[in-house]
Amino acid sequence: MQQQLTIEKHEEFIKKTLYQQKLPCKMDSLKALILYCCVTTLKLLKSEYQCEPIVEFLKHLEVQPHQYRASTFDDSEPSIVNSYCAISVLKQIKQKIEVNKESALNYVRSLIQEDGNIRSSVSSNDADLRMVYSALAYLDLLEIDTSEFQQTVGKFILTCQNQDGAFGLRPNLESHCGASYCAVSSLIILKLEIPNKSSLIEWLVMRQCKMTGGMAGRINKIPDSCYSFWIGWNLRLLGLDLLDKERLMEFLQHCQSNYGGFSKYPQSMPDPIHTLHSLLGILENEDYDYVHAILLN
Amino acid sequence: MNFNKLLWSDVERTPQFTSKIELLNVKYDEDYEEIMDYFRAIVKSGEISERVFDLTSIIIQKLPSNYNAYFIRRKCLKQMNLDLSKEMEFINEVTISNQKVYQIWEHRRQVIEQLNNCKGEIEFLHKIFDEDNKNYHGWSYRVWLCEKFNLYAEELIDVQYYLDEDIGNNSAWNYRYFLLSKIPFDFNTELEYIKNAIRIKDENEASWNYLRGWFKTFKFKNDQENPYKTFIQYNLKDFNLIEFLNEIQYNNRFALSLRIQCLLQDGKYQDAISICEVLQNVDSIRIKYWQYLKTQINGLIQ
Repeated sequence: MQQQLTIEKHEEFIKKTLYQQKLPCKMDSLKALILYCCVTTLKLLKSEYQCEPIVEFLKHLEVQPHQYRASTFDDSEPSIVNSYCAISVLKQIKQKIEVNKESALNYVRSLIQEDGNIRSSVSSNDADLRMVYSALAYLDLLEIDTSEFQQTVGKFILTCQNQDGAFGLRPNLESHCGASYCAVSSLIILKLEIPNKSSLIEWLVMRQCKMTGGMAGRINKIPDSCYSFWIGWNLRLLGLDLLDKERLMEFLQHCQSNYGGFSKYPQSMPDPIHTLHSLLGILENEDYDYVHAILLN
Repeated sequence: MNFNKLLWSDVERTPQFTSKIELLNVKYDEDYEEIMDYFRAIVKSGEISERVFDLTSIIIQKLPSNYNAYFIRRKCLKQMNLDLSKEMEFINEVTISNQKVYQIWEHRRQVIEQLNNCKGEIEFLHKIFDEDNKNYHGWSYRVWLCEKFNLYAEELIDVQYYLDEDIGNNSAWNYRYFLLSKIPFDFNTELEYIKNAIRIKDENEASWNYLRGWFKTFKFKNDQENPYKTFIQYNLKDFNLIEFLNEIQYNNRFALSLRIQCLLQDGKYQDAISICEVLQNVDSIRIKYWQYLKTQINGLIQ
């Protein structure tokens, strides 16, 4: 399957984003996330790159030990999503991290709300399963025990489940593939059972579109390349391989740009986020442990 | 709003850190670079003033996901006791051109919470949904608004508009379920409503999914109940759904899948397996899933 992809082109696209291209202003608050997508993609493509500039760059985003801000654009406070991205990058490039467990734990504790939901940063009230997953995966990456959050955060995650078995970003919100991935992987980190598993599984496989082979993020939405990851890996976390990969490849090939990279929809502009999540969606099985290691440890 | 340099002549610019590392470079225009230099300066000095407030307007319009600008803006709103209804005008304007930015919706929630008045909010959401009737941010905000201001009864009337407009709008179906989980209603009337919706368009997954949501699904061995979330769910047996399913074209995959649920609950495992086999043909993109389900059911027989 992988031969059909223009691996070198994807590598070129990612390296151009990292080193040459002048990014649009709107990406200024997404730098840590984009760095994470670029580095992870290069790692998947087994391509070579220099680690020192990346380490140096992340030092400028580190506000407190293990706490990273979005960008160098201002003196903004650190956020949990950026911290997760930064730590994941450091782990991937095998940078030795001297972990201050208590400080990382206190950071996450400071973000937990009364209902067990987790805020993106100390002054923010923006809180949902994206931040819950980021916080738990962040601690997991730093090899810190998360059991103290099992009750509070675990309960919040479960209240986000809907009657169809899938999860919304917050309680009572529409079932969504991204939210469902965050919920399932968070429950796994917390060593909690996933309730209504059969319904969830059927809901997930139903997201593959009969017409195009692509994956949609919600019921009656059009397919988007990144859900290849959010659905494919959710099923893998549940130990299942139930998607029609060939049909999925068909769709993703239409999202592949001639200049490298993948776009959200066929024939649109590629970006690093959709490039990473498309590639993760079409990996062969032997890469399973490897990718799992990247994502969760 | 235009940037007025003269107002800032007494402030020393704090430039972005420069280093030799050329990584993820962003192209700023000159004006914006200068604005950000003053912004960094006021983040450090903690100044709260009219000019700071105006500066955050410019920054948010340029980069609506800059969460820091909102924190400082809210400090200004509070400490300078500014008119919050004016702020709502600003938020509306920014939201219309940035409908999927988390930070602007979050800011909206905080300001409405302060105002403690939701006048005009539903009308604003109508505008948002006119452009994208499934905007997740808009529907999330609507759930929050409805809970905060107890709008359930009137919202049940309003949601009808969205379903009439697009019966496949799953966001609207989800909202309907949310509303009915909060207020008393007659399930038989609701069931007739759903059946009709399916009759209108039987290939619509949203209405099938909504229908299923009201019923207990069959529990396999690995299926636990959710200890923190109880759904109002009825027994399939009590509502004679098979009769309804017989009305629908036999090969409809949603009908077949619901038929499997009915058969499993009746203990008719062999019949359920036959339907999985039908689905392997009519829904071949999910052939692996229907095989998997068959194996699960087979496990019940042995």
